[in-house]
Amino acid sequence: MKSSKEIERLIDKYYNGETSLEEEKQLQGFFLGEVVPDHLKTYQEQFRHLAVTSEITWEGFSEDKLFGKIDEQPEPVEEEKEAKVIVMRHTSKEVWFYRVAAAVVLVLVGYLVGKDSVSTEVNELKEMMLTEMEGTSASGRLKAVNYSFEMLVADEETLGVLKKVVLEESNMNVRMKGVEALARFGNDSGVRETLIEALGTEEEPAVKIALIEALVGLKEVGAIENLQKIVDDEANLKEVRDEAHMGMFKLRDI
Amino acid sequence: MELQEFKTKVLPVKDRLYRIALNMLRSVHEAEDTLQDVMVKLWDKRQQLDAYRSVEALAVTITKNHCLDKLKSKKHKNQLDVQEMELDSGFVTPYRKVELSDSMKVMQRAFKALPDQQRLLIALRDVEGYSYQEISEQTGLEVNNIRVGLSRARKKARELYLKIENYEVQ
Repeated sequence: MKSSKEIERLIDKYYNGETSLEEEKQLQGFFLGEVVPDHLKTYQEQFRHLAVTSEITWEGFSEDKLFGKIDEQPEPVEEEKEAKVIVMRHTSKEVWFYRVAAAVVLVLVGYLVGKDSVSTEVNELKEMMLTEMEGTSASGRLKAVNYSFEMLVADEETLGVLKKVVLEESNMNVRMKGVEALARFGNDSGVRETLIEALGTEEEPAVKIALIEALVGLKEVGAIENLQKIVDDEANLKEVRDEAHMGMFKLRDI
Repeated sequence: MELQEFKTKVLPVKDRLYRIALNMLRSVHEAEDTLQDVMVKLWDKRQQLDAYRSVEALAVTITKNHCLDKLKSKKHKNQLDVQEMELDSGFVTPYRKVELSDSMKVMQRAFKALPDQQRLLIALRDVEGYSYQEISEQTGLEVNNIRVGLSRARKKARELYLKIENYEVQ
């Protein structure tokens, strides 16, 4: 029997994925034995469970059942070797008309069905987003914001939620993600206004930079005033002021 | 390869395959279902089996893939939560030869709660005792990644076990 010092060394190796098969057998033998010191008892179940599991057999197996199933398998069908001859016939005008009509109908159906399924998908995403947003955990709200990235369009309610995140969310990571999420819908003038407003009130340097990037990306000239304030306010971090300065420069150029 | 050869080459590994499927799927019913399919697939391939260096490695790989597919489709339908698995009495039956002690059952729950990949590695190494080289052939993972994955799985299983034990004592 190995000393418990030796066993402890093997246990360490085991949990680090460094044991050989031989050493793993030694450990198992040790823990299946009668005498396991108290301080190693908590390790015992892991090895005993593995030992018991390794003795399970497929009791429900029956050869008859298996070969019965194999017999049911359809024989693979030989592919037809001869090439088919396709006759090209002269097509009358009338037939063409129906063909074109059918194509138009197909396109229309495709459009309508597609439109419908897209909107249910967006609704589902929205539902998930709203539910997660109600939670108290920041990670849940972060997830909620992330759902919006899967949406191609956003309705007023969705935009409202994202605006609220940007202006009122307490966790800066969620807020920062919110800025990125909201900026995707920057065609909306309300969205732009919210981002400008947030730039005026935001305290966190990282979020400020995210806001500046978003507004410059949207080429929002209306942000220049707030950017100027940031540049002028010496309480701001140098990085933020530099970013704001660069932003103003780019926006003035437009 | 014909019937007799199939019986001598493939059938002897059926218990191993079953244990792997059971550890992956955590249900007797599903493990049996999946293995039937795996066996049929191996039978269909019987003409080419000679070309494989190891029929066993191939069998394990097919089993692993079928299990992962099944897990994926299940997850897609509805996230199986641990509660539901607990209710599936299926997993208890394979142990009917031995009465599991309470703490052993806690250990079982801990193993069942590991992520798919980790359950697979535990099944291959700690239950079946395959070498790293063999596991690498079966899973396509690099030896180093197998070691890291195993280390995580073993630690995680212990951590979960201690957590449940402590929780239930209180």
